[in-house]
Amino acid sequence: MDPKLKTLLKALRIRQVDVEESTGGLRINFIDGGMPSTTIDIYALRSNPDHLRAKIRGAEETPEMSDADLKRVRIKLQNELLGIANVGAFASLGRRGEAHYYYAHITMSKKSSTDLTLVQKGAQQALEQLKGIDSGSFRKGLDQLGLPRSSKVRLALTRIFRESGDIEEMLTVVVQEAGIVAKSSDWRILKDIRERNEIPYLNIVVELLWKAVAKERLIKTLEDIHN
Amino acid sequence: MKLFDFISKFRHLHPSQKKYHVDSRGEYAQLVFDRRDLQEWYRAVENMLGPPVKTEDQPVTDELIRLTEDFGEIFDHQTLFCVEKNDQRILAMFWPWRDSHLVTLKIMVSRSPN
Repeated sequence: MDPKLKTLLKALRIRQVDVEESTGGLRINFIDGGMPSTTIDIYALRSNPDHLRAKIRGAEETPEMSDADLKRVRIKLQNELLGIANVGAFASLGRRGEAHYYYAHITMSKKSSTDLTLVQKGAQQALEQLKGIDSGSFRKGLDQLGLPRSSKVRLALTRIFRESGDIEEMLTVVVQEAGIVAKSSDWRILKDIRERNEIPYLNIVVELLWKAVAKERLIKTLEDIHN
Repeated sequence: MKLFDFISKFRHLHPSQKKYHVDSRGEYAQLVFDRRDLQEWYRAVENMLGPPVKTEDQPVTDELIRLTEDFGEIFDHQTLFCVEKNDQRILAMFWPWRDSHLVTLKIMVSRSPN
């Protein structure tokens, strides 16, 4: 597999995207209430290996995908690949029979592999840190941070502590919890405890959660701008 | 045949953009030109490769999709020329741009898989 595709596959799996390997590339399935369900094929062209191509096959019963829907797909794909690759605008590729096809260029970010490695390195360090703490000390640490039982940040850190058996599990839980914290006002509390850095044995996991929340907040800002 | 030999036949047609790429399996070029010159380009390619295996009126078959997948596949409005000789496969595909006066000609000279 093309190394660029490998990087995307790894990043998309960490981010819990419905992605599978297909002949010559990747296949992503987007099912989202806000847009038509869409399958995107991503592959490299031998004749032009500088970038990857994303291809959408429109449904046969619909005449053509609207510019608004193509834009929504692009924003969603861009959000999933934030920091890894840049997704260009979708344009018509042509028709085969009754189906319309669309394509966009995907250009890898120069530091994408480094970023992915850093995320994994951070998760590894956080995992090692958590394994060195018993549940009593962990709860005490959360109390010392002033996090009430109902705090979303407390619930997120507790779930990360309980459910992180390995790096993949940890990143999965972190991403899920970051989505919840980012949508509430509790993200400010997380920002605050990260800046105060009062409990050294929790600093790495707090930092990891903060990075994921910051990414979610950035995505929300981008969506607000586009909408 | 080398890609250079092929391209040099089109010098007089003055493409507005040129892009080349070489890898271990073959040579590739993309040339962009004005749609008004399309018939002249068709003639030049046909002189070298014979008649097209698909015109824009003909449907795309699964075999044509497989043949062109390294190019990004082929669609209804595109025209394809293909010749295999002397252990080489030469493909030339015309891709008229939508809502534009431009046409891309993609050329690939590679080792024949047969």
